Amino acid sequence: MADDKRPCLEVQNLVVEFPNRHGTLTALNDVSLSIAPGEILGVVGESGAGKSMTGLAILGLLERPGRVASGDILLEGRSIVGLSDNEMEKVRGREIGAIFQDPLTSLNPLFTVGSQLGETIRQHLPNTSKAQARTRAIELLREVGIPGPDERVDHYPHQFSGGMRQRVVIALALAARPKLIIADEPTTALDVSIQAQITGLLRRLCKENGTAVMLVTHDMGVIAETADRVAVMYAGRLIEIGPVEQVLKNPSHPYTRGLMASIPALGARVEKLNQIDGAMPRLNAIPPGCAFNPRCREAGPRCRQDLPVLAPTPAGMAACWLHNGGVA
Amino acid sequence: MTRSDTAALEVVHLDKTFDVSASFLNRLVYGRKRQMLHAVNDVTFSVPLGGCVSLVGESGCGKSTVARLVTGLYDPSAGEIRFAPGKSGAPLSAQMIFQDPYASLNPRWRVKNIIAEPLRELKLRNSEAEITERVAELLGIVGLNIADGEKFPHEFSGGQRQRISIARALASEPEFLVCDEPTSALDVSVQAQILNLMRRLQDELGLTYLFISHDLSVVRHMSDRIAVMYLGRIVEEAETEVLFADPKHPYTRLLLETIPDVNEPHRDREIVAGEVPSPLAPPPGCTFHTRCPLAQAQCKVERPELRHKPDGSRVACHFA
Repeated sequence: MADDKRPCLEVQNLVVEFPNRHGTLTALNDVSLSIAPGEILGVVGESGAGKSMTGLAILGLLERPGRVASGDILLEGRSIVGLSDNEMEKVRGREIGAIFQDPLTSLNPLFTVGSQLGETIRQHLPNTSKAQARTRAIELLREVGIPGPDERVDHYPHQFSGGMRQRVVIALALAARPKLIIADEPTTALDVSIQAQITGLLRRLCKENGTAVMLVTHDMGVIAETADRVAVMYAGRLIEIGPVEQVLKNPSHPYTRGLMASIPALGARVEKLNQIDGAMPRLNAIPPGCAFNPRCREAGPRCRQDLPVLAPTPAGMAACWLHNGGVA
Repeated sequence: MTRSDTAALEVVHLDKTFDVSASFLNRLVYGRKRQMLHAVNDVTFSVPLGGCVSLVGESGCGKSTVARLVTGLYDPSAGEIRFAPGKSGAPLSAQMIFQDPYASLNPRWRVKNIIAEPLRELKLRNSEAEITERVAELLGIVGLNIADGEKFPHEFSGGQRQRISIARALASEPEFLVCDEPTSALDVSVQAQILNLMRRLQDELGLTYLFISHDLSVVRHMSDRIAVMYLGRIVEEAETEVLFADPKHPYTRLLLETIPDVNEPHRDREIVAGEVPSPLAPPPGCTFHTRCPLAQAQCKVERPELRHKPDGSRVACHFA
């Protein structure tokens, strides 16, 4: 899918560092990925793996003292690393939309959703009149499936339920017709039946408008039902990437395999769940070699010394010596 | 699993209403009415000794309120909660494990003191030496090191913190544990560790669990029976395998359909419409009729009773 079109987003060897008084923490290390127009790339990993950090780096929202130390982020071929705050503000919203986990904190409680949508529309499309912006706001609310948009446009965020609020946030992200949407855990705060509505909506809008979506989540189920390709992160690095069906059905990296096996299956009940012992290392204590080696059952001497690089596997690409010449 | 037919806990016609009215002055000045929230409505179930019963449902369905009622954190408005006599003859003692291991541990206390608090408060051990010994034993049971007792909660990951919460809950040797979403704040690989630990403890210590969760796949792994709640009422209750093989209530079916399934993803399904109505103004008749594909005129006026079925399940639906 990514081959026949120019990718909408390209992240090349991205390194994000947080210098502090004890030294430098490397939050993202050599992350490369791309998303084609109309494609949904799922990014999964445990908390602290760097999945949200990747999204924030693309949005230019890294909190100081965090900074992009090396690597590049290209939006339709144009580098957006090192843009000034003013220039970045024009990119955010206009070209990259963002959806965050908690819909209540993403909306201003003091303004009606119509005025918030209108402000965003007029900000990014300066030639729009107030009346046009309002019409467009109603259109957007209709598009994201809010019943009675003509009335709802004048309501305040607290008058909406959680699921409806997340729809409003999606409408906000779509307001300027961005090319790329970064959705960071968009359904985590919602109930399952609402979650299904929101992921379905995201998928439909992405396909209809040709918007590229980076869907950051810890929920493999959401990835399985929404994404086209999936990227698995561990301790700040990308360790496996490939088409969603292949990676989930036939994962190559032992971490992905462990992750898939530890999900309680809906189909059958087992006496004991497969667990990955231990926890992900902290950023200041990443072991040499492969960061997963202390928890890996298949680790060999090579894994404790040399860092594996992404290499082709039957399912896509994985950073594991098992698929690149053996672990011994 | 050592499940017996004796009930460890019986909950009968449990009701809980919260007064969510505006303040007295606001009522007086603006003429607002008193407003009551019926959080738990006529809930009846029992938990067999050594078994695990789960309550599932979406936010606002009253499942956590039931957990808090059972542990005595709230007083019921009506109905009864009966614990069977435990080993000592006194009613079974219950303890609770909370959802968020980041909020439920005091950040300024060392882990050994967090775990020792119930022992000291309830005077379960006579000397400091005995307390230290028991704390070490508890840390071992949940898979932590004795040296971990000297650390503070922030030095632990989420999964390890949940282990500390479990050790604290076990300190007073309870026979009944109420677990309110114990793994929903954890990553899946860690969730598996905690669920396995809880299953092991159940076998080794003969614990009985009341498990609260919104995650049906976790619930299926843990429980013998499942009760599905919707707007404060149980709409279906059945043995785990029966519920998954033959869900009868349309709400249970909706829940089962909407869980994202890693193995058989339904990618291009119809988007199911509707949301949970406000519990402040539940719809008349069957509260689910606003979202139900089977709803008829009868459902809008007449509330279906929870009826027993031949396979041992209970369902509240006119057409199930």
